[in-house]
Amino acid sequence: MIGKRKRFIGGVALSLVLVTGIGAGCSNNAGEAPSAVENGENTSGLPDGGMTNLEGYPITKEPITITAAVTYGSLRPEMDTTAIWDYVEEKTNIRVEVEIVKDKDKADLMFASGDFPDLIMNVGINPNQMANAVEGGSFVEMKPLLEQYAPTWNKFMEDNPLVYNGSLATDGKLYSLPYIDFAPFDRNLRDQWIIMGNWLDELNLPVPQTTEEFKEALIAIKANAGKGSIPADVIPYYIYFDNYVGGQFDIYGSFGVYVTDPDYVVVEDGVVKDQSTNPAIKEPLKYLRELYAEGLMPPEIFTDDFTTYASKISSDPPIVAAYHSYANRQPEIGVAMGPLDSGNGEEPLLRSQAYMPGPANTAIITSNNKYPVATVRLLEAIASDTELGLTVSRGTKGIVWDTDEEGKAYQIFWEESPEQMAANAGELGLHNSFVALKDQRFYEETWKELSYDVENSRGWAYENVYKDVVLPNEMVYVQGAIGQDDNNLLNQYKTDLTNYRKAMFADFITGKQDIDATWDTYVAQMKQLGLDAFIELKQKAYNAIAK
Amino acid sequence: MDTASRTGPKDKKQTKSLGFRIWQSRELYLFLLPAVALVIVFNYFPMYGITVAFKDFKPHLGIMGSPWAGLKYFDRFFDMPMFSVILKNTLLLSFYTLIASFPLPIILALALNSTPSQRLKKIVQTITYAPHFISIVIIVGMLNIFFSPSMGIVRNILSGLGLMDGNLDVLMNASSFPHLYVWSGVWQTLGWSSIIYLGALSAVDPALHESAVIDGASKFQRVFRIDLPLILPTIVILLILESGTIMNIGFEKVFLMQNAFNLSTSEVINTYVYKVGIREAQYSLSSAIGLFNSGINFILILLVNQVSRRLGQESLW
Repeated sequence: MIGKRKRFIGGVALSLVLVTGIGAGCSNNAGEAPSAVENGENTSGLPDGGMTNLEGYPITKEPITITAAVTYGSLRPEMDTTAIWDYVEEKTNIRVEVEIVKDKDKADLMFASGDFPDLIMNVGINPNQMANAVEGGSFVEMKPLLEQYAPTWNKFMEDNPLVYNGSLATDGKLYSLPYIDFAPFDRNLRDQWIIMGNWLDELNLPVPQTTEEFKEALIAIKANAGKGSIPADVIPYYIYFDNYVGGQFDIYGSFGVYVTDPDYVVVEDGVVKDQSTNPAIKEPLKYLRELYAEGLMPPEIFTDDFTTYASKISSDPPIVAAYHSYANRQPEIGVAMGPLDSGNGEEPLLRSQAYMPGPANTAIITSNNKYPVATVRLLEAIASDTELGLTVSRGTKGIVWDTDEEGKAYQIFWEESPEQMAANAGELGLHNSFVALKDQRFYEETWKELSYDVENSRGWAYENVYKDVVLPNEMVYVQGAIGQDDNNLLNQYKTDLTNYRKAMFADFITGKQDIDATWDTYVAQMKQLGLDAFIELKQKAYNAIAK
Repeated sequence: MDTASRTGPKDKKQTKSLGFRIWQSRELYLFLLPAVALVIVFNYFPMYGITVAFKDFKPHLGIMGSPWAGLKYFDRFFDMPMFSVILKNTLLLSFYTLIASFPLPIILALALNSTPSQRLKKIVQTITYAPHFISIVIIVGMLNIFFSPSMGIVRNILSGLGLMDGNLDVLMNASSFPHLYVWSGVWQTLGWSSIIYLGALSAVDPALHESAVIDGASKFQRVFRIDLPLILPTIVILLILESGTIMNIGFEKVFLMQNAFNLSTSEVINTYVYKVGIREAQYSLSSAIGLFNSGINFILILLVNQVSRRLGQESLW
């Protein structure tokens, strides 16, 4: 009997342990409010309680540790253990302990639970997450700290209102610093327009200057498929339909219909204008229809996904004669082609990109951080100390980059050499996963861009082909933070309009519907789907940043 | 249940006897306790989170602390201009999937069960199970390559045989999207789904077949008179369970299969709400939509269960 009772009590105890265990697994620490440290001054009146030096190195009097979170990046898989953190610690006394957030769900969970590290690097925070965290008092306001401790960042923000306004949260305050890379060949041009130069040579054709010449060149390439180095299954012209990267947008630009945003808008004198229902866009669409009808563009442009698009244009030996892409995928034979003159009297221009953060929100100080001043001073050192900045951004000096006899920094290898990247993964910097300040001044005074001398590289093509034929930067649409409700509405209109426009343009190009006969119905339906309200919201978002 | 509790004075005795019976089997109930606790903690307790659908949820205020928003998020969902289109597409794809993919595994299982050749059975099973292990991303990639309009395998074979000329427009035609979606799904899941029926068929008493053979029953007669009636309970239960997932049309596959031409038939609730901003941490709206989907699923499962019971078949409860 006693034995039975013992067994029973034992059983009860075991069950209780199990149940409590389950309960414990579900508990959270939502009740614990984070301690807010305002501007880094606590009761002692000194920054970070007297721990932080106001100038020079080391930044802190004693070694301190700052925890940080960053999203995983396959090109830089060792962001937590890379040697650059030893360099940073040696110079500043600050040990940055990085946790790599493997997937988006985990980052989302961090925002939903409010369980933040001291410093949030690039984790792809979205406006709603930012608004919620700010409302909950989880982030430290940055501007007062910059004014006091980070003169370089402060001046840069004041000189670049697009960046500053673009970094503001919906409450109009600054809580983060961006990754800035203002290399003109990177920012001032969207896609290059590449055509296979050796095929043109074989056919004795010049690099096309007009839309007519382009069409004729494509026809000639198709007619000579299987001859010389042109493969039998050649694709004369290939695009990733309606995608801002690799899409047909520079055809529009060649006809003077400038589109500077995936939503088919352009900015003219500060006014956001819709181009998707501009009657002038019929002309480039008809031109695309001609190319398609001639068999110069395959139907796969509408059905392939981005990976297939990328693998087709990257093929070596090439199978695509002309395509749009950020980089020239066949630098030995691919030639950079300018925008084409359509002969309609409009100036042909290619798309440029705004000098905007790429991306924003790469450093956020949370209210859990006991050393906000030391953290801001570290961010300032990254911006003002070339060696520290390049080490954090690129990697170890002497391995990833170095300086020449004039003292200018240059790269030894980078993403163009994946093998070297992999071999030196433990020496790499964080690139755009963390802050950097590589503005125009940096490219003029500090950096020596070697690619300008490499023919057919993007830098070379920009300097020699594209520099004077890109859209003026003030026409590029940029979007600032708007309220949550506006933002939700904007996304809803965007989805409906994009779905309909995409399907109609595909029908126009394939000839399923006649553009002239259906145009009015198309425009009416776009209006019905809220085009006017959408453009108003786009204007509002533009004003929020360009004010 | 013993006769005493059935015939004795009702209320008191029965309660007493229930408690008594639990006490008698207390060790067994003890084994049950963790499982019950698990269900309560993980299935019932989190249900209070449903209230997020009726609140302006802010993570820092918590679920309880967030202010009530009434039906704001349901209104927003129902007021979406595309609501009727996406609901229609979702239901169409779901019912089509159910109708096409439910009977075929049963037929396959019956056929495999009746084949005298064990070798053939094994080969067919391996071939039909294999697609189950291919990920959705790969399946969609294969569809795009096979049905590629100008250079896909299907197009090349058809034009090689002189059956068609020009481009294959399966991927470029909105009306062919549901067929492609559903039948590629059938191809992928057919073999795997038949396993459960093969399991049920293995429980059929061989003596029944032996006596039927003696009575001169043909193979078809044995399948229809013995196999089918005996696995009918399994079929009905699975049908009821399937009908409870009707609104959960697979997001990834639809999303990956979308292109410029098929958006009018391929935009379903899950893909649409993803695009309008579920990815932007709109907890309340996504909860409202999730609750709406679950509501419909719940009603359907009740209905099918009821119909099944009325017809004298198996039911879940």
